[in-house]
Amino acid sequence: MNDLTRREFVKRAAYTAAAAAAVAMVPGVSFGAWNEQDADLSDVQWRKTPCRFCGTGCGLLVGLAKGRAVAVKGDPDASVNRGLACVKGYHSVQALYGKDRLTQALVRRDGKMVPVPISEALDLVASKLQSTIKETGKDSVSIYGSGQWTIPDGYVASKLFKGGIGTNNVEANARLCMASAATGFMTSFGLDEPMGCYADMELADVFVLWGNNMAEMHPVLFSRLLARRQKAPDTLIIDLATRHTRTSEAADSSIMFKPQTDLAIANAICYLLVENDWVNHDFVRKHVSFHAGKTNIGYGTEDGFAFNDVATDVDWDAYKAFLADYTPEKVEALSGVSAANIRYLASLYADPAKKVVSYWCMGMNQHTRGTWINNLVYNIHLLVGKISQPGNGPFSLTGQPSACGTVREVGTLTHALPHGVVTNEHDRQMAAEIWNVPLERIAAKPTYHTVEMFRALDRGDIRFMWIQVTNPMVTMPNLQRYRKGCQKDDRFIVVSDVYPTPTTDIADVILPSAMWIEREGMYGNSERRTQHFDQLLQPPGEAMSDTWQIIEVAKRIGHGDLFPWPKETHIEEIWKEYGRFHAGPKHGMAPYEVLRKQAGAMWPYVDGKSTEWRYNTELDPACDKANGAFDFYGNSDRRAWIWLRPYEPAAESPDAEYPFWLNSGRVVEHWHTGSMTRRVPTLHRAMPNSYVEIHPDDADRIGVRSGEEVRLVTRRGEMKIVCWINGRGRPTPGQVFVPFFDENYLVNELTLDAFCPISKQPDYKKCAVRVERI
Amino acid sequence: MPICSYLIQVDPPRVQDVQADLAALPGCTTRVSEDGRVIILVTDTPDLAAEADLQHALKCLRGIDGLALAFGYTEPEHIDEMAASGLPEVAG
Repeated sequence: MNDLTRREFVKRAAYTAAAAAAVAMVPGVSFGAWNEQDADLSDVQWRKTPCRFCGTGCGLLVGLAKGRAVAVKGDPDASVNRGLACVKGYHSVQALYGKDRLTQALVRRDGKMVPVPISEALDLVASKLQSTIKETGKDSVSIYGSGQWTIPDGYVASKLFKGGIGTNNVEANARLCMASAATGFMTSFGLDEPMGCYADMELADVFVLWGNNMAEMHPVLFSRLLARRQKAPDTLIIDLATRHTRTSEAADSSIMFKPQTDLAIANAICYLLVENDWVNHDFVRKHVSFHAGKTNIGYGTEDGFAFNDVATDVDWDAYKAFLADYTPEKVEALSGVSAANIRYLASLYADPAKKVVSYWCMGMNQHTRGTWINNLVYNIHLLVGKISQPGNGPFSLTGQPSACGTVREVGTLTHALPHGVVTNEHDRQMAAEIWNVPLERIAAKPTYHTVEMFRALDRGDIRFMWIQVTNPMVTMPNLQRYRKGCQKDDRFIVVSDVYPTPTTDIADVILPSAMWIEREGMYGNSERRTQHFDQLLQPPGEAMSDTWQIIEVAKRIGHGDLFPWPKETHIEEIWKEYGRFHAGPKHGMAPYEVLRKQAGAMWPYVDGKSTEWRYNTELDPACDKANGAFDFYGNSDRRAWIWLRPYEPAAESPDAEYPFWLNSGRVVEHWHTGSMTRRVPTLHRAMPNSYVEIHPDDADRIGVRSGEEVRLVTRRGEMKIVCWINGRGRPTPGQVFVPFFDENYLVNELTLDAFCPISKQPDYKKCAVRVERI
Repeated sequence: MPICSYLIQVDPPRVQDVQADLAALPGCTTRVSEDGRVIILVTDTPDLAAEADLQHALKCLRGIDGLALAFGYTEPEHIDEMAASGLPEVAG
């Protein structure tokens, strides 16, 4: 491509990025066709891939020329995004070319990181892994991955550690992000992941967003809601949140509640559904059963915390009596949401003429009662029978590109296997047979969930940790404790990544990873859609895929027989083997050849077709029609479970010494800890540093103005940071918000490592903080 | 030779005046949304200094309610120059 046409090409990309940003930022805006010159793009080859970043799973077309990725556009054939992308997607390929990409392995010698050939680094990793097992046992070594692991990465990690070494010390950062959604689905429906799909966005009349800033976190999906409203003007978008955001600006109603009281609000909605006899009794009678669990269940802040819930069968009358505590007036006093607004919400869910979808993400999942609030939103949909139908249903949005595909489906968590759980002998037998390993090698007892795994590292119960494609030295709550643990003398930390991060700072070995389209792989998005991408580029230097790094180490420690595949076809072979775990109508995966051809397929993939709505006998081939219109086949009683889950307070609430709530989260420009997006100049310039949002009334009282520094102090740490008042977001009074993308402002040194006792997912949204004027 | 795009929010009655002012600036191409609330501006300038001058000129324009950078591209040879101009070490 000559220079002129290349510049025209970039200008077109610049226009497209702005148009996409406009659609996300300004509700209802539209532009006519761009009067662009036809550039000569004949030497650009366009290849499909899912986006590298969030769990939406947008299909992208990457433009390749002369061995480089030179452009990106949304894939018009991708049903997820229909040709659109967000600002991160449009800049995604630039993240490949940061000048400090890790291209060679580094080993710590005499306190300094020294470059070595990658084969030498892999030798060292293997020998340290073996010596640690020999000296302190197989449960003293661990691997910590990510929802950004490709499906093959997670699969080989699980196979090596669970099937080869024989330890369940496998965890992933999706524990910090999606565990409550998974346990919510499991406890209510017996199977993980949403019953509906993104097509609901063109079919629903009401969208209720529970603590979910969708406009910034899932902008392409939010644009679909806005498009729905533009086409059907009676469509309602309800923002139910603790912080006023761009989502609030675009919503038809913005209802603010006090942190943690979503539990009470959900129960109050159910109270009104019952009180007003708005219940779909026929659906409830045929398809629902009622259950109570333990209460006053703790917060997990102490080492070795253990909790197992026990379900007790209850009946309709017990449920009705339970709800009596949640009158709108009582919940108004607790939550700050007016009784009138609670009635309004209940009326929307109840209206038989309206189809309703509920969306949520971290607001409900990063919650010390995360499983409970997931259950409670399901309760609402189940009481009115608005579930598993086109345009009706609850839907948990995913944070990472393969939190579903890799962590939840492959099962890269301590208790899980690619099918089922380690505590189930049948599931272990299936794994032993497919992996061709002795049954007894697969340990039957889970070991450590993520927070406890880092506590074990701190205590010395774990001595070796291999961290891939995640940045826990930015993301772990109560971070100072876990950083000190990693830095203890007899700990050995291996980090596989693409750029230097605070986590590579504490590594003993750094392995340079091939990033995204520099290797072949698959991601699985929020709507059960698996998407394949080819290797489109050569990785820089000695960078190697995380999958192949694990296989190389496996060969060095005597487990090469588990991975007998040639390098050229190993991803295809992995997919075929992994598919055996899910064969059947409930979770069948699309064949490799299908995934290569199209922009993804949704499981259950049955008879050449994706299943869009599960548990609906007309639409889901796994259902037994004898059960009527719906068949919740994940539970042994083939019913969905309504749970009696009460309101319980947060682990740490504001008090006289620490009078504010501290909330943390993301911004639209940056992906998670910013290790990739902060290397894209445009994104970095658009949002260069973190900040703290304070409500203007609180700022007046403290005596600070926008742009001034304040000191944030919690029981775990403190930081100085610039405040932003009436900026992009505005928290409710008594609350502050800090984004976590900036490694120069480690908000997780302040957060609390309390978690949901059922899901073990930490609460990054609620702890007590003091704001001091400097 | 940077190429950037901006989102400019305007008061619809003033959109034609703003568009005319933008057209008078060097290296600027515009497109107005159908409801006249938003202008997409694509800039093509010879170097970083010219882009900075242009940004200053944009900030001085009347009738603009909001200005947001949506896209930025710089020739690889200018990346170091950009870093030296104030981007932190991680950028590039």
